[in-house]
Amino acid sequence: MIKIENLYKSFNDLEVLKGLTLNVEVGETVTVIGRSGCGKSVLLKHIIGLLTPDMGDIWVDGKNVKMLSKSELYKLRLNIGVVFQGSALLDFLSVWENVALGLTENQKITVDKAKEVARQKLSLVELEGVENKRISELSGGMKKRVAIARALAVDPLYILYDEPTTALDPITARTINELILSLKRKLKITGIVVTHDMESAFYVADRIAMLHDGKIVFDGTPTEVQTTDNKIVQNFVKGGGQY
Amino acid sequence: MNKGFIESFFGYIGRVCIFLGAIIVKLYYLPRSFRLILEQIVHMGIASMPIVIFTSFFAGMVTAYQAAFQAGEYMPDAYLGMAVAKAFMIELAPLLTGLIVAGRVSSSLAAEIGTMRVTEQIDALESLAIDPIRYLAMPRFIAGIIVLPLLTGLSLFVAFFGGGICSIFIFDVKPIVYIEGLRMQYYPHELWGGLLKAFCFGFVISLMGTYYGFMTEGGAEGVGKAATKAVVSASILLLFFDLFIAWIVF
Ligand SMILES: Nc1ncnc2c1ncn2[C@@H]1O[C@H](COP(=O)(O)OP(=O)(O)OP(=O)(O)O)[C@@H](O)[C@H]1O
Ligand SMILES: [Mg+2]
Repeated sequence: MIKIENLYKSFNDLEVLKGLTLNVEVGETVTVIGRSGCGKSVLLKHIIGLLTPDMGDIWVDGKNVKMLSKSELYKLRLNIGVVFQGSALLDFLSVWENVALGLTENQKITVDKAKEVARQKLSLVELEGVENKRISELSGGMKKRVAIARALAVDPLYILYDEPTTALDPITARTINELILSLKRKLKITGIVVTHDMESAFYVADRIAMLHDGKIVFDGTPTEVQTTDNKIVQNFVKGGGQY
Repeated sequence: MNKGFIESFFGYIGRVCIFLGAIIVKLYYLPRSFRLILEQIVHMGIASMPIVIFTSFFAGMVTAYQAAFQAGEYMPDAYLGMAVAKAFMIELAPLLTGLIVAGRVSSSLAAEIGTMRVTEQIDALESLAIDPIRYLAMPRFIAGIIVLPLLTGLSLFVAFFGGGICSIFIFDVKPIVYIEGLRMQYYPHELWGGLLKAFCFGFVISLMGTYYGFMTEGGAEGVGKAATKAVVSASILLLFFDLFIAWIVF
C-alpha cells in the first residue's frame, strides 16, 4: 500500500504541496483530480523518488521512499509502473524496444523473449503489428498506449497514470479507461490515476481525491463526490460553476 | 572580479566534476555497455566524417600552398611534405577535427539529451530502474573519447593527401619526394602528442555535451540554450587543453 503523510514541496518560492496526506490500499484505484498546475504530476514523482519531499514521508509497502539507498530505490521502482503525462517514450528506440526496456536493461533475457513479452503487453493495450515502428510514426493516443504497455512490462504491483486520457478522442479514451479497469480486476494492480477528465475519474475510481491548494481537500467514493456539498469539489465537477 | 563570479565559477567546476565522477563510477558497467558505445561511435563517427574529410583536404592543400609561398623559390622540394606533416600532426589535425566535432557532436549530444530531459524521457528511465548516467551519458562519453583520435587520424591522412595534390600539381614536386618529405625529421612524440590532444578534445566535447544535456531545463528554449552552451564551452576548453598539452609534451 502507498501512504503519503503530510507532504510538503516547494520550487524556489512556489509552494506546490502543503501538507498532502493520502492513502492507497492494495488492489484499489484512486483517482487524484485537481486543476492544472496544482501539483498532481509532482505528487506522482515523489512516490517513485524522482523528487524528494521538503517535509513529510511517503511509504510504499512499509518502506520510506526518501530513506532508501539508490539500489533499494531502484528495486522498489521495479514494482511500480509509471505512465508519464507526455508518454515519455525514448525516441531512438523502436516500439518494442521501448516496451521491453525495463526487462532488457535489468534482467538477463534474450531478444526473442523480450520481443515476445513486448508483443504480449502491446496486445493488452490493443496495439498489434506496431512493434517494429519508430516512436515518431505513432499518433498521440498510440504513444499513450505504448507507454501503458511499457509500464506493464515488468509486471508491477502498482501503476501510476498521469493523465492517461487527456488529449485523446472519446473512443480511445474509453478504451484506455476500460483497460485501467480490467488491469485492476484481472491483474489486481493497485493504481493511482491523475486526471482532470471527470468522466474517466468516475469510471475507473474506487475513490476520488481532490487536490487543491497543496492539500487533499476531499476524499471519497464517486457517489460521495456527486452528493458532496464541498464547494471546491462541486465547482470542479461541474466545470467551474456559473459564469 | 567580484565574489559572485568566483562563487559561481567554482560552483560550475564543482558540478562538472561531480557529473564526471558519476560517469566514472559507471565505468564499472563498461563491458555490458559495449553495444551502446559501439552505436554511439558509429553515430558520431559517420556523422562527422564528411566534414572532417572536406576540411582536412582543403586545409592540407592550403598548408602546402602557403608553405611554398613562405619559403620562396629556393626551398628544397621535400620541404613541402615536411611542412604539411609537422603542421598537421602536432596541431592542425587535432585542432581542426576537435573544433568541427565540438560544433557538430557536443551540440547534438546536448540537444538530444536535453530533449530527453524536458520530455521526461530521463525520468521515465529512472522509473524503469535504469540509471540514465549509465545508459545515456557513459556510452556517449566513452564513444567521444574513442572517436576523436580516430577522426584525427583520418584528418591527418586526408590532409597529407590534399597537401600532396597541391604540391604535385601546382609546384611540380615528384610524388616520391613529397612522401619522403612527410617522413623527414619525424619524431614519434609529435604523432603521439597530437593523438593525446585528440583524446583530451574527445573528453571535453563529450563531457560538455552530456553535461549540458543533463542540466537542461525549461522546454524547447532550454534545449537550444544547452546546445549553444555546450559548443561554446567545449570550444573554449579545447583551446585551453591545446595549449596545455603543447606545453607539457613539446
Ligand atoms: N522541476 C520543477 N521545477 C520548478 N517548478 C516545477 C517543477 N515541477 C513542477 N513545477 C511547478 O509545480 C507546479 C505543479 O506542477 P505539476 O506538473 O505537478 O502540475 P499538474 O497538476 O500535473 O498540472 P497539469 O494538469 O497541467 O499536468 C507548477 O506550477 C509547476 O510550474
Ligand atoms: Mg501534470
